[in-house]
Amino acid sequence: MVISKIFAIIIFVIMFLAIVTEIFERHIVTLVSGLMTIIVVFGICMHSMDAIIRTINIKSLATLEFWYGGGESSGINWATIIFIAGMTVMVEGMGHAGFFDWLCLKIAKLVKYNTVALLICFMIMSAVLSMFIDSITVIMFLAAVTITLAHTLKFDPVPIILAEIFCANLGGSATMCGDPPNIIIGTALGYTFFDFLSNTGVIVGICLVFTILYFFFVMRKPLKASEKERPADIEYPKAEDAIKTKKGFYSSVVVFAIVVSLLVTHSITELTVATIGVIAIILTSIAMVFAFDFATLKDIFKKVDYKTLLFFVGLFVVVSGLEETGCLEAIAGLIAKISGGNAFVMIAIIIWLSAICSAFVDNIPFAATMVPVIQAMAETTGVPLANLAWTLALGTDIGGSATPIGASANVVGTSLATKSGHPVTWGKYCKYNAPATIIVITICTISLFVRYF
Amino acid sequence: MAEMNKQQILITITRDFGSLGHRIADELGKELGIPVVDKTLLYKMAENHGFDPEFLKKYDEKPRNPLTSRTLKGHSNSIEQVLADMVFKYQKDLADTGEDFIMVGRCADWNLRGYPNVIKIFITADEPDRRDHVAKALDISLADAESLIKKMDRRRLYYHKSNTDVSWGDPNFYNLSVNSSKLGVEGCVELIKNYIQLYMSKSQNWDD
Repeated sequence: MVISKIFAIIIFVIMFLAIVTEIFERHIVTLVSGLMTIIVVFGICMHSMDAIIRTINIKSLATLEFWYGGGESSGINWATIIFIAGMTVMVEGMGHAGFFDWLCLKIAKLVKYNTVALLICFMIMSAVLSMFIDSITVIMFLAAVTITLAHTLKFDPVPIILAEIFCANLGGSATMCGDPPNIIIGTALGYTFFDFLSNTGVIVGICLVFTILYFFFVMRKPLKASEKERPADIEYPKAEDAIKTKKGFYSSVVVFAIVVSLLVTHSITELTVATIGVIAIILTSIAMVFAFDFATLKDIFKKVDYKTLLFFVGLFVVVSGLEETGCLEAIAGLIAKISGGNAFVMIAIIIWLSAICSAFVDNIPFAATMVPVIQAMAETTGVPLANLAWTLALGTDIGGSATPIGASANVVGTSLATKSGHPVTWGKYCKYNAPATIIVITICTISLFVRYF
Repeated sequence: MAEMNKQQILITITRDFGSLGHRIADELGKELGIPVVDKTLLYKMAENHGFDPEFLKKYDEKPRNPLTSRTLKGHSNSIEQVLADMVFKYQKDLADTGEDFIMVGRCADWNLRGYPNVIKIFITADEPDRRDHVAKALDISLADAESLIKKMDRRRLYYHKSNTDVSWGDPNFYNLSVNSSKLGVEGCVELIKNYIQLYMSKSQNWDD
């Protein structure tokens, strides 16, 4: 079976390189790689129809556990895909209704447009919103409002945008639905929203305090100085202007509240994230037709990023190729060997390896690959799987903040800043966010040691 | 030119470094009485978006580094790519005004290919001539000129490759490829002018 391992690794490496170089769109890359895994690895090398069926995993959709009760999953993680689709539809609906712009502008007014207070409030808002909504959407709205306010109030928006990006990634690691790696970890290993909140969430809470202090001390001087240059006769943007219709606004807030409640209580109700994703789609559809019309609903569905969903499908197949051929068990064995079976060393390796890798490569394929690795490690070394899962989640989510390419929010935030006339170079980005990442990962490592040993 | 036609004409000039393509564009603009858009568009964008023009020059006509950049939902962290996208939008905005103009470099050949009456010209020159032109223009040694030409050729090639689907200098893509070593600046201008006039008289797109 060595040949199947070799082909699985070759396909994985080529896929990774192709994603990095962006010669082809990433969903094309993963779909073609997935197809190659099925044909070459499972078909030609392994002659295993069972491996193909396990990987496609389409049967799971017809089981009760997929929608109610839940459990561990392998192969294509359909729950992740359905949940992300549902949340995207809901978030598009909220954006269309003007919820995010309204919230940002309302908070800016509440703090009387004081730039240091804005920095702190926007950081907290970024972290809290990212606990429930994907960080790209959070940054798209927050950065856009920050840029508008910066032009009006005459301050440099870049430090605030960088702090928002950092907090979006940090907040995302607090919950199961905050960041794609967490959705993958949660659905693959059968953890709930509350499991994440009571483990990674607590650690993220501690980290957020230190993060706010860090950015406050680093950025307060230039922000304070900019207030002196602020013109006296400013016409501030009105939060109310962001709302398209009151009906649409309230409907989207109600949908958001229901979906968040379902997520928080899903360990009690036993509804799976796939079910919650479908509910989010149904509720948003009703709200949009009620508040606007069918054409608006059609527009919202058009905005769903289907390419990302396809990207996930292909990716899960390729990772299954590594899993079925035993490559990931070998990696798990290697980490266990290096650590000498010592749980402290294992945790330290996973969190720092995840953080460093996620700083430079897409953390979604990394997390998808590492899930079977930590499963194998838990089985062979006896270290509780949950401890390894929280470690992996924190490392992959937070490590991505270190460089401009580490996470999706970083790319979107720096792009928006550059387009507005405030270019963000690698040097400028890393000057603020790389030290913050190192500090926070260190705090996470210490917290994990203290809490679980 | 404006008196000679009723429809817009867009001329794109793609040039090898040191081929005198820029001078040819300037002379052609003077002859035809239409504006030449080159680095000037950077100043315009700097003015519109609040950029430092000197900062923009550093990233102008440079390809994004695939190892240090990522693109997501139309957003890129690469300053080179953001600037390129802004340049392409500005080129189209200019074309949409209905005015005639000559656009030098910056993938205008590809970006404006969908517009009617776009004449795509590629200008090159023999290697020794390119070296001489660069050495003279920048007051540097011939050896330095040669290495600068290599560097700039590579840069433009990758910039073009990462923003278009055609190969740099592919004769199938251009309407006219000219070697300035054979004709000199005046000869090239004359040839291009004649080509445009002939095109105007023959083209079915033309109203005359």
